[in-house]
Amino acid sequence: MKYDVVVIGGGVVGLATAYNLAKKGVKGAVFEKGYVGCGSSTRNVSRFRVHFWSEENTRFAIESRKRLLNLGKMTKWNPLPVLGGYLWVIYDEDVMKAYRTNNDRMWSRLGIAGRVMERDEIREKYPYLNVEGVIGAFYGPQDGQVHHDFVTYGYCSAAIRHGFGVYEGADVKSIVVSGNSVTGISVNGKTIEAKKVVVCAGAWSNSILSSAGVQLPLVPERKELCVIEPFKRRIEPFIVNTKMNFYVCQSIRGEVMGSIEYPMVKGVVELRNTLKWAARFSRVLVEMIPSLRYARMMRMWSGFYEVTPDHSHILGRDPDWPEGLYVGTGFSGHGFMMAPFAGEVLAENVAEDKVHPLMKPYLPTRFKEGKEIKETMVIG
Amino acid sequence: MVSIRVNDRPLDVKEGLPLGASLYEAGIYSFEGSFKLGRPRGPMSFEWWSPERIYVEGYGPVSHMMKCTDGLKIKTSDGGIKRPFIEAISPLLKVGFQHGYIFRNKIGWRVTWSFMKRTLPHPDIPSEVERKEFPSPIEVETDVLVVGGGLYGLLAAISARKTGARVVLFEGNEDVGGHIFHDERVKKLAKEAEEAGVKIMRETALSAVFEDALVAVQLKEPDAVPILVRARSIVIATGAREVLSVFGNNDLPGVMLGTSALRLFKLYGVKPGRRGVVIGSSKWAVEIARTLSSSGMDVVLVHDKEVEVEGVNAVKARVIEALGRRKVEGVKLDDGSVVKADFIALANVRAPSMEIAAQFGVKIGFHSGLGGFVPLHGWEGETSVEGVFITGEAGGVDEDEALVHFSKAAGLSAAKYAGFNAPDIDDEISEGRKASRKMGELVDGYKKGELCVFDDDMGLMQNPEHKRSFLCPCLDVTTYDVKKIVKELGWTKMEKIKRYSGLGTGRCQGKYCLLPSVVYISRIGNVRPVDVGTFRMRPPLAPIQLGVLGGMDR
Repeated sequence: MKYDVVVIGGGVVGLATAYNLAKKGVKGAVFEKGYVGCGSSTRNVSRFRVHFWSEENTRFAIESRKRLLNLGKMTKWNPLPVLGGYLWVIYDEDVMKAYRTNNDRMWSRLGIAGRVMERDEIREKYPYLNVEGVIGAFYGPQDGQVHHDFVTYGYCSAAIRHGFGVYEGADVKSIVVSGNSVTGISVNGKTIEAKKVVVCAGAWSNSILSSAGVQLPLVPERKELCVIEPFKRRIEPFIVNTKMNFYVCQSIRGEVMGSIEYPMVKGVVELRNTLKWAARFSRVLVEMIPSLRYARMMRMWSGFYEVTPDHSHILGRDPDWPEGLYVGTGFSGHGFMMAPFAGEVLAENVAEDKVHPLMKPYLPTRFKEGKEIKETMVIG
Repeated sequence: MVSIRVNDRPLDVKEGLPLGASLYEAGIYSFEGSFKLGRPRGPMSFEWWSPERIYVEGYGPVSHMMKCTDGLKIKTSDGGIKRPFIEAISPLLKVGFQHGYIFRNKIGWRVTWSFMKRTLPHPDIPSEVERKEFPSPIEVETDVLVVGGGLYGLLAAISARKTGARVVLFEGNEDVGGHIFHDERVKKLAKEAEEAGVKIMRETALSAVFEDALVAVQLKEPDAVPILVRARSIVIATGAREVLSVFGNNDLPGVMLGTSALRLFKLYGVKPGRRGVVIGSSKWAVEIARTLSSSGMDVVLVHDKEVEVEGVNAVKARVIEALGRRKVEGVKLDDGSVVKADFIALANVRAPSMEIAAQFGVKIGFHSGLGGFVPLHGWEGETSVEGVFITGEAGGVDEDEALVHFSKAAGLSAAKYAGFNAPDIDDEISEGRKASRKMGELVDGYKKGELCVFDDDMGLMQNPEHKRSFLCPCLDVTTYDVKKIVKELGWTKMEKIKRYSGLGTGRCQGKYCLLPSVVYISRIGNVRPVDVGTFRMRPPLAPIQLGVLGGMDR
């Protein structure tokens, strides 16, 4: 059996690409090593935001958000969108100035302005927050949350409905290249022929790409997170502590979830948890919300960010690569929120060889051309 | 006697008694409304790991183990006025209801969400909690750590201690003994162990196996203390626990695990009720029925397989449903008869507590003759993880006599691993093998790296056809919901079913629900239990307070 396109990686990015390809009538299949979404797609806290530090990412995220909110119509699975907003709690005058500048200069121009909250307003609106040392906060009302599993499985079932194949337990060992073009992939010891191969394997991308002689500048970083016993829904926004690189939020079922950027563990390591992280996270959370001192941590887990040097994703192909090889990876922790639009433009690129203007900055050639994106707003 | 306030009404309770037992004694059977359907939910167990929470002002939700002190203010709920309404619309609330067209479209979802948000039955974030220092961790260093102070944990500890190794034993409950805490044998053994120099730490449980540390918790509700553990080898003797049996209304207050019914009465002096039904076809079920009825309760044993029932009232039948609205009032059996009862003790199966072993990375197999999911280990208790040994019922519920020999052997081999000279254990093992029923199959599985024997539903599937047969009481997932997923989506992997329905993501983290759910899924999906799989066992074993974890930040 010969496919037009095979997608390696059944995460939300791979499935979104598959869905968009399928809609264009492309014949293809997705190959996933574990089960659908078992990598990073179902391990995140399922938040999306439009506020990024660089204009490229902001514009991309605005498009992605629109699609995310309308996903229910497309996939027939309700993504359960809730616009709770993002609240960046700020402890430092310089940081506050930077947010103000970015807001005035770029965000308001793009129509996604947020607003600065003074300390008193924070205290009044979020009485559980400890405002000691806080000088203010930046609130982005257009940001929010969806249900990550339903987005991923929604894309999966929609792709299948449009005629795409999705294979679980299909461990792709290598990409088969002959001459200067890809001819297929090797799965569980069998070769499957394909004209084009799209690698959306997140943290595992490089180990697959290396068989085609390609290496991307991305480093997997293990991040840990946890869920705390449920409460009534009080923590409406996604609260980021900009000093400690910490965040906390509440799921729609009421569980409190959060994480802190600590300790730094790089590479494809075992997905376990550390006491270092659990202890630091708990201390910072109780300092921020003192009334959660007796709340209990139910479960911890970890997942990967696949981080590029400019904290932005890599889409499309480099002309120097074997013909027919494409990537959609390197999302640096934003894969879930960027996937709907990334899948669309990547599918367009793969199927019709078009490069969407908003996709142009994300081509893999940007690293050698020195056109890296300036993105520093990584957390959340 | 001390005076507490429950829902703004004064209540006199015995001082020092755990809150859960006190409320139960006072006739407050429901602590909160259930997640989706707003049904009354009471205590299903009275163990250190019990997932039930009681809202205490100034603390928030606490464990039922918190001791009663003067002036505590408590709030409970039984689902309240919301319940009739939810019952009426419940046909709409089947699993995955949110994907239906009326809920999926923009307006439908907005209305649903604003309703959901306001009616979540969870406790509120407490408005005021006293701010104080985090407790600093205790450090425990030892050669051999024994986790679990039941009969077999004690035996392993004593035999390890005899080699000269330092031995520390953790027991989560107030006293040692595990499920036979009321037996004189274990009291004697505990004394013997302590005299031999085993350090027994009560109300202490190994909770989290981290990459960089081993963490236990001293369970002093509400201010627990963290313990950092360093041990050369570990014997896991966490025993086994009963799980939820599946029949109609199996979530009603008054339905509880068999061991907990005993604990409630024998340890706290609170009768679980006047008339009870014990469900189960094992010697253990008969033992529970006998103990309770000899204490003046009117107890009927309902068993579906042949078992020696001398001296107890017994009926051979399956349970159709529990009757009652706010609490168990009776039990309907499949022969059409109704037994009046105000509590139900579940004793169908004792399922090995394999969570800690799984956190260590020990491979888990399945054997319905050994209690369901069971960690794979060899004759000496050794596992695929270096330095981790498993013994007692945690390694498969086999004949008592066999386990006595095996636990002695495991204690010795753990001491040997820690660098001590242990006497030959071949005799212990061959004695054990003679008495054992099924352990050979498990050890074969350990050598092969896989074990799946599933020839019996272990009496768990009493009546899965009832529309209120719960698999997961924490998140209100019924057999109907799971059947819908298996039939409509074709999913049979536990991880995926969990993601769709929420099954197993509640406070119990699978302790009540994992085994019945997997048995049910294998049955209707026609797959092997090991292929359904468990959800990944992640730390901690039972939820830990943030204040306790925060104390370990250096």
